Formats: sequence, structure tokens, C-alpha cells
Amino acid sequence: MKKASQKTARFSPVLKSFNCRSCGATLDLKAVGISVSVSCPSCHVIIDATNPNYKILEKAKKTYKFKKNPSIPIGSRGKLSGKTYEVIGFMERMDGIYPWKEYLLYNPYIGFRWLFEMNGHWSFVKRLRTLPREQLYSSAQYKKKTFKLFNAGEAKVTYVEGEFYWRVKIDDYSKVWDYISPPYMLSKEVTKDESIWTLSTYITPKRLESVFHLEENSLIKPYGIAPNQPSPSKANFKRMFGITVITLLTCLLLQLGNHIWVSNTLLYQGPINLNKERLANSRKISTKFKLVKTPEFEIKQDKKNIKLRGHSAIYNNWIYLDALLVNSKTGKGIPIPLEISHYKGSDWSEGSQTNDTHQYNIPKGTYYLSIQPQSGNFRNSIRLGIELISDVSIFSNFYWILFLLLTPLLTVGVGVFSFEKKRWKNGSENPYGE
Amino acid sequence: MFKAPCPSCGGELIFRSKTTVLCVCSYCRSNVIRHDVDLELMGKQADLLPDMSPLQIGVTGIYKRKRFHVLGRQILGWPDGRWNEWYIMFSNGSDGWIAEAQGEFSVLLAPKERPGLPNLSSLKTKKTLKIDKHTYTLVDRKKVECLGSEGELPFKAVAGDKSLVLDYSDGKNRFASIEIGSSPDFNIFVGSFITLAKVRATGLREFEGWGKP
Repeated sequence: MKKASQKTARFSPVLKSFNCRSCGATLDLKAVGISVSVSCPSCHVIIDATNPNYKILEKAKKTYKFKKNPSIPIGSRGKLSGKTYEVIGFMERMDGIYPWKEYLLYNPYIGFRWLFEMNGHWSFVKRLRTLPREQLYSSAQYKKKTFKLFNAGEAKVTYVEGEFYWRVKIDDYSKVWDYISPPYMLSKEVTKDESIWTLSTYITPKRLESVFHLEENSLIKPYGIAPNQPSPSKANFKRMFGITVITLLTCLLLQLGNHIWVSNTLLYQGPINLNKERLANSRKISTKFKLVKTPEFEIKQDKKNIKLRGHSAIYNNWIYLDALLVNSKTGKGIPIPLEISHYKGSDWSEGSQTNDTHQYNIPKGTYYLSIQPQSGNFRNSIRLGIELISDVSIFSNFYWILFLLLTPLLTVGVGVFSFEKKRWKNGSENPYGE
Repeated sequence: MFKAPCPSCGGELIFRSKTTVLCVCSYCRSNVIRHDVDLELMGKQADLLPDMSPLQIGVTGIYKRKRFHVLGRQILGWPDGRWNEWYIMFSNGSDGWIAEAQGEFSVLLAPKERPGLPNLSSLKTKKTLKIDKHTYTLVDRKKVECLGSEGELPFKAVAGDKSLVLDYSDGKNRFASIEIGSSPDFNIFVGSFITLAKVRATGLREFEGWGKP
């Protein structure tokens, strides 16, 4: 995409059609009056259309050596951003060993546009006449958007077909700087004569197939990640982030409201000494603890939850309270088992000396607790404090919601990150390092 | 507007602009020079070179809220191709040009304050030029040749006329152009890019297979 300026030949007209000096075939120009070089479709030389003798710019041997077939044929027409364009030129360029293809599009009322294709990824390209502002090759500003420098490289023409509005030659060289803000990319191309800015917009092969009336799947499937390919998960992440934040705030509000609303009625509180049972008619001590019964208490509100909390200063031991909340009238028991276990080493610990357990939908009435304790060691007695509270706020549901909400968000977040990491691997300015 | 028969073929010549110097007869392609009310013949021109320009004499549009009409054009050639310069007249009588190169269009107008001609022998070292408070940098200089003209033009522009063109850019979206011909005088313009859609051009040429613009 450059306009060479070799001021050698004499000025001369560009005719609508003329004969190839090499093979005699008739060449028909599309951009009459504008096109400067054109390739002969039958013998593949490149001809200078401004030269009175239609001088040959490039011999067929050189252009045909790396013959490439445009996947959108020259002469195809299609509508892009509302305007019809015709493919009139096709070339391949390379940065070292990485090739890409450029299709020159023409509309007599609008002028020229381009399609670039690399690894099956396509962009619709336009030359900019309002120049972006560049910040020392690290970023560029265009229309209030910041573009990050992605790659600094070069471009060399390796194959040419069709017509062009400059004098095109194999090995035409330019330096290229690409700045990205997907789906857009700003490119600065510098030759010894001039510097040109272009804006590329990512476009899917599917869309191009329908635009240029190509057969389905005739364009190769994109592979790898293009510099300006929109991240598929980024849009999802943004949407999910919004939804997650709103849901979390709602849940937090509900939880806090619940926390204020509940009555937290203390039903019973007291120390319990767990003692081993003395066997009848024997001096021996049983392995079992004595059954503990608390005094009776009243649950005044119907269908509320209750919380049993236990605390004991145990180390490397466990206590299991096989507790029953027994209705004094009916004798029916509701199990509310509680385990406390606590292990500690010099630099680690597991479990805790305090633990809670809950039970829900308790009918109102008079109750007492019947507890059958068990323990992990054979000490005769253990001191334990218990607390029974009715109508408490429960945070575990909230934590579950938190977990369920954040897991997908994090998963998508990781996806976004790894996509960007992969994208930048292809650029010379990779901020993620090697 | 001034109408007169062509001194060569008798066909009607229309001088829409007071500044018109050359009018190329649309019937016989004679160059007719206007000296107030007297007309002078100055040879004939070959047929115009074919091109795909959507502009033609008679096209109108609106630029900066002023309506303009296309009155004529000259085709300029340089070693790397050619371009069109269309002479336009605005509804208030002022004039300007639409340059058409490489499929792009721009409007060129005389600057408010005309700067002096830069010293041509020191262009290599002094590349900047101040016009209407903007600084422009020289980006290109080229020798051009007139390849033909049609309609009304404000100077004698016939095929074979040679001139030097200096192209300046402000590095953003404006550019300036200086044309130095054979006469001691020079032309200077400041320009900005337009699209035909933006200036709401009507009366454009139609091309087979491209539908209405």
C-alpha cells in the first residue's frame, strides 16, 4: 500500500485497454486514469500503464515464481459498510517468513479500500487522512481511542496480480507499526518517500463469503489469534461482571436485612461437664460419657431456625455431641448433632475450638436438649460450653451464592486473560513476556 | 454569465465565472481565450483522456454551507500517473478547485493571507511554511505536465504546459499545494479531504454496472 515515486518515465496517458508488450493479450483497466501498474492475466508480467511503450516493470519469472491464488477472485463485487466494491488487485506481502494477503477494492465514487488476510483472519482497511497522534511508538490516539503498539515490523511484496494505483514491484519494502484496539488496528507504513496511516476493522470470513457471494466455507477457517480479533470472552466478561455485581449487592442487602431482622433469642447457655459413666457394681469406668440433659426452655416463635454452638479448649482431640432437641410434651426429638475438632502442630492447625450447627423449621413449644457426648481420647472429663439460639441469620447460603456467582466470572476472566496472552505472543511488543 | 459563439465552430460558449480566462469549446475542442468581450482562438486540443472520474462539468455540491458548481478541469500528469483538478465556483462568486487523485477528493481554496513564494533553491533545508497561522511541512515536489483540459479555467492551461508542484502537509488533516508555472506568478492553495457523499454532490457521472451514486 504505497505510492512509489520514481521520476524516470515520460508522462503519458492511461488508456482503457491496451496490449501486453510481452504476449500481446488485451488488458482492460478497471480504474481507468488512476491505475498505474497492471499485471497481464495471461503471461503475468507487470506493466507500467503510464509508460508510452507500456514498459514491463516486472518479468513473469519473478511474479510467477510464487504464484498465489486470491481466495476472493479479481473482479468480484460485494457490499461492505453499505457500499459496493470491486476487487481489482491482489498481492502478497511478508514480514520475514510471515505472509499475508492484500486485496485492493475499488468504487469509482469512493475510491480505494483494502481487505487484508492473515491466517484466515480478515480486516477491512481504509486509508486515514486525519492522522493519528503517536506517542513515541508505544501508543497512538485516533478519534479519542487509544491504540497500543502491538508490532513493529516490515513488509516486502512477494506476489502481485491485477491493477494498482502506484508502480508496484516485487520486493517493494516498507516498515510497519501496528497499534491495536480490537476490533480496530491502526497501521503506519513508512517507505523512503512517504508515511501512510490505515485503519483496519476485523471482519469474519463468514461475512465476506456472503458479501462476495462465495461458496460456504470456501475461505479457510481462521487459526491462531489476530492482532485485532475481538476477544470473544471479553464482551461476556463485561456483561457477566455487571450482572454479578448487581446480584451480589442485592444478596448482600438481603443478607444484611435478614441479619437485622432476626431476633437472636437465647434459649439456653451454660457449661457442661462431660463425665464418664461409672459402671454399676464395679470400680471400672465406662468408655461412654454420661447422657446430659439441659433444663427446659420455651421456643415462642413457630417455624424458626435454631443454632447450637459449642466451645471447648481442646487440643488434638475431637468431641461429638449426638444432640437431640426434645419436645417435652410429645417426647419427639429433632437431631442437631455438633462436632468440634481441633488439631495443632508447631506451625499448623486444623479445625477450631468452636463450631456451630443449625436446624430449621422448629415448631414452637417447650424443649430440652438431650446430649450423648463422644470424644476422641479417654480423658475422664471435658469442659464444654454450649449455647442454643433461636431465629439467627445464616451466612452459609450467602457464601454459596458468592461462590456460585464468582466461579463462572473467574472462569471467564481467566479465559480473557489467556486470550490476550496468546494474542500478544504474535506481536513484537508482548507485555506478558516470553 | 457571458455567452458567445465559438470563433471556430459557432457552437455556444458559456463563461459562468468572471475569472475564466480559458474556455475549451465542448463541440470542436478549440481553446478560446477571453479578453473581456473579445475572444481569441489558441489552437485545438486532442480528445480528452478517458477515465473513471465520477465528476464532470455541471456537478454541484455543498462545501462549508456554500453551493459550488464544477466549471472545468485540467488533467495533470507526472511520472507516477495523473490526476484531475476540477475548477469550481461557489454561489458567492469565489472560486476553488477539487483535486482528484488516487480515487480521493479534496477541496483546495486560496489562503486568507497569501504567503510569499518559498526560496526554491533552499527547499532542502527550509521545509516549513506558515499559511493562515498553520505550519506546513514540505512532503513532496514534482514536475507536472498538463495533459489536457475542458470547460472553463482561470488561466491558460493547455496540453504540454509544464509546472512544478510543491506538496505540504500539516501532519494532521490539512495540506497545501504550490503550483509554479511558466509565468512569474504562482498559485497557492490550502486543502482538506472530502468525500462526494459529504459534499452531497449531484449530477455525477453514471457508470455501467455501478448503479446510481
